Amino acid sequence: MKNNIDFNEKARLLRIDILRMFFNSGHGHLSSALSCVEILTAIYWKMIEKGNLNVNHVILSKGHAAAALYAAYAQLEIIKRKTLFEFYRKGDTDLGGLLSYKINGVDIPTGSLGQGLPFATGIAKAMQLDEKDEYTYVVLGDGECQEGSIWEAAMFASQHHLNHLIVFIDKNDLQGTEYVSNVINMESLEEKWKAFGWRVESVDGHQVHEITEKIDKLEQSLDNRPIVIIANTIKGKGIKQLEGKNGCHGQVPKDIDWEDVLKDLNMSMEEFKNYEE
Amino acid sequence: MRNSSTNQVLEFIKRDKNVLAITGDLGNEIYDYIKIYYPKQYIDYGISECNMVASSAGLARQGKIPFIYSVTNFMSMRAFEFIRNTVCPFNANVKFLGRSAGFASSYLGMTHQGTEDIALLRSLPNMIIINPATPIEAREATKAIYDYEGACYLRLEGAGEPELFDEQYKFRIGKGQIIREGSDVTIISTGSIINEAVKAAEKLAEKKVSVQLINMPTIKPLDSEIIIQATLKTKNIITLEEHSIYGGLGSAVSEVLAENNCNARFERMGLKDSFVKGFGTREESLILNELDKNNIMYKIEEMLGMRETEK
Repeated sequence: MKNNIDFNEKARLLRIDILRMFFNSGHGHLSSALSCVEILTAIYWKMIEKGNLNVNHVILSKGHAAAALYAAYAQLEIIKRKTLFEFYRKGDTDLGGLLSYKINGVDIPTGSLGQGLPFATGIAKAMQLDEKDEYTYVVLGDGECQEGSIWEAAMFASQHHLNHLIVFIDKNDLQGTEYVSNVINMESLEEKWKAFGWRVESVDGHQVHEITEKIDKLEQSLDNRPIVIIANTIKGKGIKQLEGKNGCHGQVPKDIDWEDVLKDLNMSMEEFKNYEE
Repeated sequence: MRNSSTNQVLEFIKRDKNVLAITGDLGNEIYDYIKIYYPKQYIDYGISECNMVASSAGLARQGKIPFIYSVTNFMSMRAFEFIRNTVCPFNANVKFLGRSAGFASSYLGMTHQGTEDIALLRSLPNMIIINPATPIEAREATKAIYDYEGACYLRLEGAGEPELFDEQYKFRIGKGQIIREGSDVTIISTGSIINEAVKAAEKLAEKKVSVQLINMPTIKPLDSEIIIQATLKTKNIITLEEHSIYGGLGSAVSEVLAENNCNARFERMGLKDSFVKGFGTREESLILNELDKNNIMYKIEEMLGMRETEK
């Protein structure tokens, strides 16, 4: 089983699913989802590689990227792929625009920022009390780190030596309305987390192998600190009108050149349109 | 009543390793004892209530049973949205023990006096809300919320509340009880303020006024039936609470009256669009806020036409 997983291919399929969802919906937080594709791919398929997939132990705190999690769940066969196309539809769908709790495996709804990490500290603390050798993974946004509750949780995790808690910061430098640095500058994130007693690493957040290697390295060399991995990413990755652009949050431009976008993913428009099961 | 509740938590800790005593830098004799003798079942989150609440939801999702002991305002108000999003959607098995509710912290002032907590928490799906009146009721309610799987808020006041019940007292979630029969007016009360109503009822009996007294520990779900029966019997209803009249017991009872077309005169006694006035002992606080036995008597006499309505 080991080493058989093609992480790049998994990430490619996730991207296609996400794009297909927004191609259908025409609305939603597309750029937020596209920035954490490789992070989620690395987390989930690394768990599969280790033979202990437990989606309840992965908390997507930046709930705006819900589409990426739904797409991963479809790939993991937790939900049916065809339900992905209910995304952002009116009516009795379980797939909300922000992370819905109606999906099996999602333990809290997120989208109200700063709540996923505090919740995850409880998951990690319970497993520490039960002496379980299992990890809890959290994905935060960099703008999200402006929430005070993130730092309450950060203090708690380090005080309690929650070294099986691994936090990814999807650092795309953009928040809802503006560049993070123009709203409340979070630099240096690294120094902040270090000062709170965390072990801090950084990676290129779009190189899935770099992320999986980092996870391996860190899990094999635990000390008593919780771990934060600052993943440098591009908001809207893969769509030129969005990539790293101020104001790209929550936008699905009408003039996306889908064929051009799909070229990078080795897919034709024909295939894309007919791509379902 | 707060220690009779936390003492019961200690009993659970002894026999159930999943029960956790959770606090945020708050002194309580019993929790301090748990900290020393059962350190693996004690977590102090420090002065970080939002994290404490959400983290407890995480603990509960892993099968733990957190009993959070906190000043109610810091928990039910500061961390309200964390309760809403991390506890309520899945009805996580988190128990909230909120102290300093009502006028208990009458020397400290409004930041520590929980007088809008019911209004907030009553709006949350899945949340059970109980405001015990006495130490024994607090202890029995603590047992009941342990037996019930889901989110519960126990509105604890302070220390030294008088006892009205005996050791055989049986508490049931969602049930009020008539503790004094009467025919002229019914007082529906929640929390230890019922002691003022007892005194008022005794005084009024000397004037041949017959006061019925209902203790209503559970505010959600509310015992509608006992309220409807009271309106059939006495036609005059007063609610009494150490809480804002907006959103608390008074509001909850008025909803029952309106929705069931009950024909009764109705008055709410509690804080009327204000915070607790003044400082002092709890008794002094009740007088300052016109919620002591004399004010209750006055209100009843007014309602029954025994006084000029102008006070």
